[in-house]
Amino acid sequence: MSGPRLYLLVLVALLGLTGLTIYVSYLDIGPFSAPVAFTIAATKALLVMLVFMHLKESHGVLWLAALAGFFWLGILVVLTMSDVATRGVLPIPGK
Amino acid sequence: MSRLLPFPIFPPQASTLAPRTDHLLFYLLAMSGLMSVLIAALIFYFSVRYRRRPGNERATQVDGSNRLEIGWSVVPLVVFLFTYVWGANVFFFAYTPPPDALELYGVGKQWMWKFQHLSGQREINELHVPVARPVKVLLTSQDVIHSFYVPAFRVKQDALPGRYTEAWFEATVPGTYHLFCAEYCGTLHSGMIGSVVVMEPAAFEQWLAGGATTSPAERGLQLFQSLACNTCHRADALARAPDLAGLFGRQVHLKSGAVLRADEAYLRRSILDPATDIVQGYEAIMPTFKGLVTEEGILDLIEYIKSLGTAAKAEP
Amino acid sequence: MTAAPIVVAPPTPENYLTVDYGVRSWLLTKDHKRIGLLYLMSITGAFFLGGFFALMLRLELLTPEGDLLRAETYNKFFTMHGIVMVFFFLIPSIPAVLGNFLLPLMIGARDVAFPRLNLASWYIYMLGAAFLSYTMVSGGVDTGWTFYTPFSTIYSTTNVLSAALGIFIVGFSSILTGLNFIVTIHKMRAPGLTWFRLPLFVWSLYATSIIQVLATPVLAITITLVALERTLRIGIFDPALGGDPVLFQHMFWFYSHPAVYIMILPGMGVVSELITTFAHKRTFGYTYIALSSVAIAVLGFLVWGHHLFVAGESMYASMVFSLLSYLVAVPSGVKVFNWTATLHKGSVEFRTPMVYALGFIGLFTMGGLTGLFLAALGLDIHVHDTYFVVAHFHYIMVGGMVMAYLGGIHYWWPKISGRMYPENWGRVSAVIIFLGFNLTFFPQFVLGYLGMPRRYWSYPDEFQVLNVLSTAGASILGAGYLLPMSYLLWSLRYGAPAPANPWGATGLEWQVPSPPSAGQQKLAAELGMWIFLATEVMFFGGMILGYTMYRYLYPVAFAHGSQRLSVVIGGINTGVLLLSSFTVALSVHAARTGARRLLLAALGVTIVLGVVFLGFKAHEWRHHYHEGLVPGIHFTYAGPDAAGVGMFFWLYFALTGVHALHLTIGIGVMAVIATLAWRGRFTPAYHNPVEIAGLYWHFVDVVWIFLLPLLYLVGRHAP
Repeated sequence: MSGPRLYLLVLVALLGLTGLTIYVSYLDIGPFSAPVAFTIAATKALLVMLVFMHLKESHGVLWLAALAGFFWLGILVVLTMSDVATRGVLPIPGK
Repeated sequence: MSRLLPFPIFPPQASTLAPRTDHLLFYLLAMSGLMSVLIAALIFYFSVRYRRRPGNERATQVDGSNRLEIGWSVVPLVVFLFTYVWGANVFFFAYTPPPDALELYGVGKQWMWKFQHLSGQREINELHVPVARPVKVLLTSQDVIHSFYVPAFRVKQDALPGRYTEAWFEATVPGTYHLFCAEYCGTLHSGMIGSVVVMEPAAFEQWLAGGATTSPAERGLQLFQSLACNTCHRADALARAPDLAGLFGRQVHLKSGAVLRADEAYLRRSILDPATDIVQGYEAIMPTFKGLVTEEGILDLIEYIKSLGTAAKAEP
Repeated sequence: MTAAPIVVAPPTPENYLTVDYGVRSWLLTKDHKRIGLLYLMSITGAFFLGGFFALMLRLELLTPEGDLLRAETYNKFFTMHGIVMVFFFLIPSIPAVLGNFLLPLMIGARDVAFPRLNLASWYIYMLGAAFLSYTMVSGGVDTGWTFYTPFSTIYSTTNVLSAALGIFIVGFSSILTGLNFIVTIHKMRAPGLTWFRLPLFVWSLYATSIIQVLATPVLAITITLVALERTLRIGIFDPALGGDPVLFQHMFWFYSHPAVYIMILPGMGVVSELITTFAHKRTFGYTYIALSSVAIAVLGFLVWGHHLFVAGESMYASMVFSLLSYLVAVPSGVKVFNWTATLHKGSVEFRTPMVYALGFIGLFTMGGLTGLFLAALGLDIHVHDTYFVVAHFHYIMVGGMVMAYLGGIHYWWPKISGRMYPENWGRVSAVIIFLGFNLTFFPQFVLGYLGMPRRYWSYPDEFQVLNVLSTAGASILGAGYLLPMSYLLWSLRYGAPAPANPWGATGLEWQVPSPPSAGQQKLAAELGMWIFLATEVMFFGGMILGYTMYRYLYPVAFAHGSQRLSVVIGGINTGVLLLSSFTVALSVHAARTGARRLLLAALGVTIVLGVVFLGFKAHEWRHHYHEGLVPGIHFTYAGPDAAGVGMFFWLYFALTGVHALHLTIGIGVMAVIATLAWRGRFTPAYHNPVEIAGLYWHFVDVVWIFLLPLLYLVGRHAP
């Protein structure tokens, strides 16, 4: 399937996932609420990128460029948080 | 070697950390010196031996060698990892104060260092410490970032506004040493210098006794009362806030379910942003004291709370 | 020597220099070679301006007392020295001058992928330079090029805003150059020129461009946040409001450490070319040198925390960053060893560029090895923020990069100008610069270990002798730099005409006449757009990082803040944007199939949906204003967790504001596309602009997909 019919299907899926993430946010699922919300958002983003942005039909370097931003954002966040989240592990102020 | 020159090229070695730092330096100098000499010698030799001249107008084409590439990737890597471990080892030593260290407080502000001894002595741009005794300085800043730096001790630690950091050292040689601010802090950054005076224990005790005023714990108690903290933080049935005796260093159970250690940063946050960490069983009724108490006042309060007993001392 | 000057006719009757002479033909040129020369002139100006500041600093440091300059002036001068040299000279130097000139020639392309964008980059550079010049004449700035908070946001009384704006702008020049080069290297190579046949200089430009594209946007957003924080007196770095100044340092060095590799990688590329040419031998370990450039570019992103060992970074993070720093040293070492091995059994010729290249290896090796000292955690405590660090990075950036730059300029000078420079003058200057450099900076290693902190206007007496040596070296170095400036200018008129290949080099650029003929353009827009979007991700990334950190520190306040937002409006707006993405996808489909009416209808609906989204957003913002939830402007939230809630709303406005700005631009772009479609410009064969505009629109949608849970759905389940 391709073209407008696929686009319509994806639109419906995206709207459905939006409803789902709002619904789930009202449930008390403890520490899972953030990961679930993020997974749903990532799925939606992936759908937009694959179908609407035609990444599905592209290959090679476009994939690289598309992933690079997210990968490097991951480096920025993970390594910075490796500092913030480990402060106070040792009983030495500032370490 | 410094003796041979009319000016110094190596800093005095006056703390237990200094020789460790210097040994690391000597190792690095030897290692990198060896590498530099090797590379320089090869370049020099190849450049002369294979210079363009009659009889050597054509180079012998060689594309490379995987064995060499692996060799000069892996061998340096092993050397680097060794260096890393050594460096980390010194670092860990440099920031882990012994438990019996003499405590004092340091506050940086544009452009001076203020120090507070627990017995009451206060100093500006001068710090008197005893020889052969570990000393730890709890640092903060009143305005911008400063950095507490004593080259003779090889000690450096930034003093951050809104946070506490800690430097410690054990001086080994009596004398007077430079104290610098190493983090650029504005117009008179280079004027934010002073000295650390390392004294024999007896002389230090004498100095400490002379001119001592109210101790920070006493000032903290006065502040505690004048800010009316004691109307809620009390041990009896009228208490509407946690009793602070034996609090310092203890595990605190929060309303949110989290468990924290009551360290300096926690106490500071609880004075300025009381709603952030509400203790289990209590309500968020405490107002913020932001603007009502100075950085030094907060340190006095912390010292007062510490004087009420710490977890280590309170537990039998 | 009073020989009359010999004026020789231009070597080829028509080349890129002679094809047109008017000022207009230069200022509106799309020829990569001419743009390279525009950069050459601009950055030479920057170099001597930055050099002037350096000279004044060294003169002040001749005596321990602060006597020549006032403390304020000294601080402004070292700040300007840093900003001008880093952002306006070193970063553009090799890529923008030699890269622009040579990249298309080396890969057999007529020009770079986007010649107009290339010219725009230069204008953006000049605009940034204009803001910086304004900063200088309006009293200067005294924060250091590092802009550490809270000094830059609260305490400095100088013109931080215009300097920040200048750096923000010049950053985009750098991003666009990088983007252009990546697309050029991917899409414009001559048939048969596979990746592992590319010149090593091209590999190094490719690696550099990756860093430019992915790191620079983080600097842009960081500096924007500093500027906003300074203006509104509220933000995420202010400790009085629960912020952490160390976060600024993380964000700043996430850019500024890789920026060191932006500065040195192209230099390594140049040196690879020089060594193979003047050893008359193929490069030893070509593949390893090529891949080590990419390895440096990637690993270089993982080490920034080594600037924070004494800054209040956790012990654990410091250990991780130190370890990673040692890893990045390995590929640098691989390069040095391979260059050395290339000389083996070569036929080594000591022309001027080669003298520079050998000087580069020596100085870079010293700079690199002293980097190992700084990466060693325990030693860094002592030498951090001292002259040891100053010496180290000058060995890399001046000893390394400037030597490579001058070597490259000499090497390609015949190609650029069509003239030969005087060889003996060249060699003598290279040696003078090498010696002057070492005399300037070697004593600074000793000074640093002795304990002299950097950025000191006055200093204790015992440091004087070493400072005098350094200043003496600086004067030799300064004179050394004036020499090439003089004889290269001289050669433009009096130099011997250059043959096409004066060195017997093998690169493609030497197979065309000196100077080359004029060129044309071609497009590879889709890849360009994707790379631009990666840049955008990093731009938002800085704010996402702030969000992550403070949500971690203030979970309850973030939940309270989020609960003040309307899920209904957030949900509706999400639906509106998703629907608009669908209509954009439809419009691209319509353009592909040539359905003009559908195309127009879909574009029209898209624009309407975009406006509806902005309408809802404006309504929301107005509502927050009335509720007193706008930090810095109207914030009356008085709950006990006001600081954290303020932080949440600050990030909320930053994120939704920047998003709305993007959407507004998207609506403008779509309006242009619709107008073009109305005029029937698009056919099934040509509809590239619709696709490109569509990619941008979808991206704005993707950002919102993440903003919905991040902003609206936090702590909803709480009572």
